[in-house]
Amino acid sequence: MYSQDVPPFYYVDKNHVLTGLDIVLIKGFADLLGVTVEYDRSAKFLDDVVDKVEKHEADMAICKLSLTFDRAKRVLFSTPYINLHQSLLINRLELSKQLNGRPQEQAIQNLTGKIGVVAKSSYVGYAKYFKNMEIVPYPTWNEVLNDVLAGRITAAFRDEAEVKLIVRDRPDIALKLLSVVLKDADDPKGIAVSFDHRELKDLLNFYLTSLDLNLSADKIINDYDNLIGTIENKIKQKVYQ
Amino acid sequence: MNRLTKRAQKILRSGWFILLAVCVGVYIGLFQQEYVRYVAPIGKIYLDILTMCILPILVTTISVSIARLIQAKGENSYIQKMLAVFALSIVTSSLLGVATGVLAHPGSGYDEATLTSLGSIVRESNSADLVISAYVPFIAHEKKSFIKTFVDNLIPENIFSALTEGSSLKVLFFAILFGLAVGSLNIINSHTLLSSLESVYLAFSKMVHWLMFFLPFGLLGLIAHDVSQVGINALMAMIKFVPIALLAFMLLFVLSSLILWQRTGSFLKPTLALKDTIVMALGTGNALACLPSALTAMHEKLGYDKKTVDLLVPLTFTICRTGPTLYFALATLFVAQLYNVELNAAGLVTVMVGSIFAGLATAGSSGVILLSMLSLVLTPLNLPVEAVLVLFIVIDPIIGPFRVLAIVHTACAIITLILPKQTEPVLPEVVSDIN
Repeated sequence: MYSQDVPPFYYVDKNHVLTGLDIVLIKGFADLLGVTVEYDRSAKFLDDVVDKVEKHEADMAICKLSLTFDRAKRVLFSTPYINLHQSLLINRLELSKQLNGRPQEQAIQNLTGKIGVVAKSSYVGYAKYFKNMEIVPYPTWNEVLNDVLAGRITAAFRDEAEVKLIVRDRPDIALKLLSVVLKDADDPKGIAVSFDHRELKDLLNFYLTSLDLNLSADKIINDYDNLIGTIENKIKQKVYQ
Repeated sequence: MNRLTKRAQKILRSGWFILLAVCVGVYIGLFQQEYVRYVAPIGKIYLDILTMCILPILVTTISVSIARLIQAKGENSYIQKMLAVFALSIVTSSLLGVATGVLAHPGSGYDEATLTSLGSIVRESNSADLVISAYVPFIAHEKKSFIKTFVDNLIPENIFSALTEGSSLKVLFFAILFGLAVGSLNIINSHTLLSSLESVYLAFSKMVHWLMFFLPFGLLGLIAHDVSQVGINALMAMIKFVPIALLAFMLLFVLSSLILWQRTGSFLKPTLALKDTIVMALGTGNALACLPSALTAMHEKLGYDKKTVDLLVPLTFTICRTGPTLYFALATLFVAQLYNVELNAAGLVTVMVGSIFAGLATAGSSGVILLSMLSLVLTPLNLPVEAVLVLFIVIDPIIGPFRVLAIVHTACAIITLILPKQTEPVLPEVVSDIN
């Protein structure tokens, strides 16, 4: 698991307990297997999580991990349990400098300047799609945010859940930043296991399919408590069957 | 019985009664919002009946006055003067807007708490601002140029559809052409038409005259509704901008009052004469709704020539957009300060020129469409439009009436500048017909 907290997927809450959607899912799976979960949060970057699984330093990786071709060459992935969309937070002032009489949509598709991403994450690869932009990797998402707010970079690039979380929790930046969801640029999230654990992957797939999650960013961000309650109930029922 | 009616009329038309209605309206709008749904329809009906009379008055006054002016010949020397005064007053308004913005800093020094409440207004829900495709190229609708938009707004394809849509600029254009045409017919041919048009005008004026007795009730409903529409959160977030904007309008009002004083030789007379117009402007927030009372004030109470007043008042209301120009200039500085963009001298000149154009583009429009013209100023300065537009929309129930007041009050002052200075009152011609 990645070292930074990524609410509401995995984070340490007020009571110093590691919790979140990913935690609930993996705990449920462990309960079904009759084992306990040990979390390794030493990975500084998201790509390191994949390395750990590849080198058998961890059995599984669950941390809102993007399923990309590059990663799929190195580890096995469960079927995606949530499909997010790639999203941007664009500095409004920088964007209006690039408009040149074009509508916003057109300017965003041909965005220029610097695009900030979390280093060694799937978004370094996704960002290559913006041909005219210089990709700037940052150690953490917070640093990306600070720089896009200050106008040092034009846009911050990450998944829909992160962007919508900021829209919800930081109204003070609504005037400065424009939030954009790219509706046809997918970012599926899956659980990684090593190539030798094919049976584990099949079990995981069976588990995820039988939970029938139908997750979306909006559900997780805006209806978290209900969603987690429902999932926990479903898991309980599976465990006692 | 007759004396009783007279007495009732006098009470209904008294300033105190109107003031009382306004106060009750504000009180209901602020503290007794459950009654708003009972009184608001009264205001709406009142405004509807009033606006029902406006377009016929607009068409007849302008056509008749132009036709009469042409027939009288040689009296149109003031057209050039009119254009000069219009230009001067619009430049003055934009200058006033820029100066207020530079001196009062309406958009700087916001702390995080205020930015949070401003942001909560901008962000309507928890969803993203924009959902677009990454791969399918966006096909833009062709954008119309400023000139094309203006021409499209000016020339009606079909005069009846322009009348049904209430596009005042198109109606104005038609009325001017029609007046020119009627005026160039020989007197025998045009006489009947002109007197019929005049009767139409008088009939509608009579209706407006009756309506004025119910003004206190209409005002009560309109004001209660408007006040209840103002979000307190929005107001608190914009607490720095709103008073500065109102102050700027006040300065323009004072300036116009000084001009009126200088041109009519009396301070009290024009103020009293324009009392109804001022109340109407603040109560209805609709410039054209003030047309009948402004015509009456300028002609009957201040004694200006009817033909010229009938032409100049509607023209000035629709074309000489002092209020919006001032507001756009001030609003642009607010946005620039909010985004920490320093404007140099060239930038400030761009604000002035931009706000003049944006003001011109608002000719004949109101409400959200009027506010969206702000993009004509913000875009050349590379300032973002969408987010801030929401802020201006939510405070417009407060700002709107004062902007309209700026338009109509300045218009009356402008007209006194165009027309010769008054020495002694001219006897009105048709007072007896109206009353």
